[in-house]
Amino acid sequence: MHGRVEPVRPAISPWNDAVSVDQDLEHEFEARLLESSTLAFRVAFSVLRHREDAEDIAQEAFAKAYRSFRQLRDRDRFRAWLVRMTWRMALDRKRSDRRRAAREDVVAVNPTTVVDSDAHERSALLWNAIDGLSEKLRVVVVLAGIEGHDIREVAALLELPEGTVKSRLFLARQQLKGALSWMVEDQRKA
Amino acid sequence: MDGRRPAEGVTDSARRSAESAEAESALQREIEAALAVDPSPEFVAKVRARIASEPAPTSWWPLRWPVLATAAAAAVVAVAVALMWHPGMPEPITVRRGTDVILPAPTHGSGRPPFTSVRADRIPPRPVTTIARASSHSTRSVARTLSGPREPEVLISHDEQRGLELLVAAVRDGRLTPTLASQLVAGDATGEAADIPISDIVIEPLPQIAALEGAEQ
Repeated sequence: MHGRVEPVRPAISPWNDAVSVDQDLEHEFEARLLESSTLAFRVAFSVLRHREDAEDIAQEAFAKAYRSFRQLRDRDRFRAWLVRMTWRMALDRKRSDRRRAAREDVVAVNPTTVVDSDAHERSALLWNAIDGLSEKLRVVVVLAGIEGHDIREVAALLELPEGTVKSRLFLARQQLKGALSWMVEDQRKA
Repeated sequence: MDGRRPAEGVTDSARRSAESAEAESALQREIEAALAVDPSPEFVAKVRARIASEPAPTSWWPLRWPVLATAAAAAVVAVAVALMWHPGMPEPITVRRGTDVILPAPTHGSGRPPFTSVRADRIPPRPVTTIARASSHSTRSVARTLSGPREPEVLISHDEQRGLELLVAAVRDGRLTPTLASQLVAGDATGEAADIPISDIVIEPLPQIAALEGAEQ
């Protein structure tokens, strides 16, 4: 990985080129991992709301990305693929958790629950409102709330036209404002 | 009309717009704060450990020339084999049991009949034969069994076979010059060929039929 000394190539041959390309691939993947790990984790967390589960999903998404990294060497393409894959895998995990919880009839306890009851209540209401959005609106809101992505960056991540992202973001915010008017008012006054 | 001045309406509109923008901004801050959750410090290390157990991403592109050369050589060999495999190669004789079959007899002497007829019951059973046939259109594998349907054999007498072999050998050795039939027809058209005399055909009544007609009368 970083800091590794590349071996001296004794002769020029296709096999040595293959080894060199593999090392380049590993270096590039390490760079992608460092710059996108938080993004993948937060995308998973926005769906699962559970730190360990989100890490598991993000880890699995990186493993899949590594397997097909040759097709994902481009930075923008890698991040877009990673976001979509993480989102989809997190949704699958959430659905399977729901089914399991329904089978076992167990009330899940979130270990990342904040002790502050007021902050917890606000967070729960916010997430309830976000969960009430359709999936298309939700993913736009989440990505716009991560790392300060603007509309162009969200459009690149979702591989959608900027106009589509802009209208979806507007609709999502309108719905959220309606659902969280009191919170927005409090925040504005504060 | 509410009696307010236009400037007041503009001010209200601007104020509402500013409040809306402020509310959106506050909402955005709430969402960002809710999503501002960082992974554990070990997260990247866990991902590295997970990837270490994965096979490295393969890169076949630098090896394209050896791969392409091998594929091209294999294709050339396949085409050569297909061309050398003559479609008219003799096939093993397979017959349905219980039926008559005509087999060519060896021509040792001049007085032997050209063909012999034997019962297929007396032919020892043969195992299933798979024949790979190559033709100009396709290559197929034909599985023929003793009980399966069978096409009629083409029978050529040994005298004809021998004559054809002699003709081919003479042409090959230069003792005969092959001439196309079209050239012979062209020669006839120029009048070089002599007329062939054809005598009149006389049909005589058969003696048995003449005797029968006399008896009826």
